[in-house]
Amino acid sequence: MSILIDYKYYRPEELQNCLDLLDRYEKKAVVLAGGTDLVSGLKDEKYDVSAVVDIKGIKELGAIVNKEDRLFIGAGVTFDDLLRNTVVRNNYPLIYESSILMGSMGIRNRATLVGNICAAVPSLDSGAAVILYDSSVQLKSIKAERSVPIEKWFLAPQKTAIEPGEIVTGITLRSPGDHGSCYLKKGRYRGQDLAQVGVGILALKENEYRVAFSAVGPVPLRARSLEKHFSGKIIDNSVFDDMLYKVEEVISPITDIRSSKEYRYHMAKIMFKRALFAARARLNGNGPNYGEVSV
Amino acid sequence: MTSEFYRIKIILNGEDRELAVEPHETLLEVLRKRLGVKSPKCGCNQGECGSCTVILEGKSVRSCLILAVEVDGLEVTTIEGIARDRINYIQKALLEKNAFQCGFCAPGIIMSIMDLFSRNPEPDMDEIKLALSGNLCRCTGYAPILEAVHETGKDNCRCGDKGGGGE
Repeated sequence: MSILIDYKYYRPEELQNCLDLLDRYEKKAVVLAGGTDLVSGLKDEKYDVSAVVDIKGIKELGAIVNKEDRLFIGAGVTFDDLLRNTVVRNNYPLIYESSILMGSMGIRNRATLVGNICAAVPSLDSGAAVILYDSSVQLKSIKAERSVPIEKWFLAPQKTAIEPGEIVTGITLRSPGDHGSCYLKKGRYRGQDLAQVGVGILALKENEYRVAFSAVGPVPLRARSLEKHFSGKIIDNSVFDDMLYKVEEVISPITDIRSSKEYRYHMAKIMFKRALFAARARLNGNGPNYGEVSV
Repeated sequence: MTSEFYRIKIILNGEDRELAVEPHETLLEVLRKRLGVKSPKCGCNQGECGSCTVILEGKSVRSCLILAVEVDGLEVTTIEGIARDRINYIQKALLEKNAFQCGFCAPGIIMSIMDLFSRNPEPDMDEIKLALSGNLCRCTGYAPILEAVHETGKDNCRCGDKGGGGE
């Protein structure tokens, strides 16, 4: 299927020109970064647009900026850029681990993390990582600039807090300091597939944990009640299993083409335990290498 | 449709090409229909199958998910560019293993292998599977393809980097 929508293509080199275009076209403009979701959506006539604004010419949006305990990832930064970045690999390993599992090499070379959170499908691979690093989404329009905490960003499947005329310029992650982490993805096969279940864990000092799930609810979610339940104590294997029913209380999976909801409930518990143990082992320096655990 | 045209210049397989494209044309459509480059294939047309893979500025990409206007000023390489008058060493290894049956996926797979070797000249089997996981072969002849890549990788290390040229 070819693209049947008629639109103008713009490639501004200054952010200001981009904001002007978004202001002028309002709801009739879409931002093009990697295009791996957008071009597919244009073919499916998912958008009713008159302007496609390509942001790859805007230098500042292609930047990864590490400053103290913050990491800014610009809207033009691809998953491949993230995988090649040593600060990401060393200080934000959950981003690294989930980026490896996103799409395929040909997709990672082009697709951007910011595009992933703007597309906001429930199964998005970067969801758990951006939530657990307490990220904030940076938005700009011709009138204002604002920052949205990640937990207020995802509103519904493919729906975010962005307003017409706005562009996401990037996302800022906050380092939790020393930590171990783990992202586990269950697909129907190993390879390019969307997640049936995604689980992310951050293990911090003193047995403190952060927990997030994707693909088991309308939006990726931070499971604070689980965090409270499992943090602050050393839990041995048998007691841990008795507490796993708690996972079912925080997720709300559905049955779809990729999985039944029963299977998702089942796997979410198993993956939660494996991911938590792997993250804890990594914090203690005896876990598997990042990118080398699978379900 | 009454779109306006955009003039673009690309370096296609080492040659400067200039043409006018409409904003809705994908790189795949322009390569195949306008520039006569037939090796990238249209399989799924949504970035899942990898048969349209080409090298853009040194990296493998899905040409069905890229608008032709986006690549203005950039360098695009297809299998026609790496194998001009003779097959290259990757093709040779695949041929020796009789790795392909119908061959529809072959150009895309070879482009992904080129990208893999540019990052990692001697990949292990897991790394090869990860790199090729986005290239589907419906004849399901994966095993000899993976073996050919694995052996070529070992040769890469013995003989040094052979780059993208002929054998």
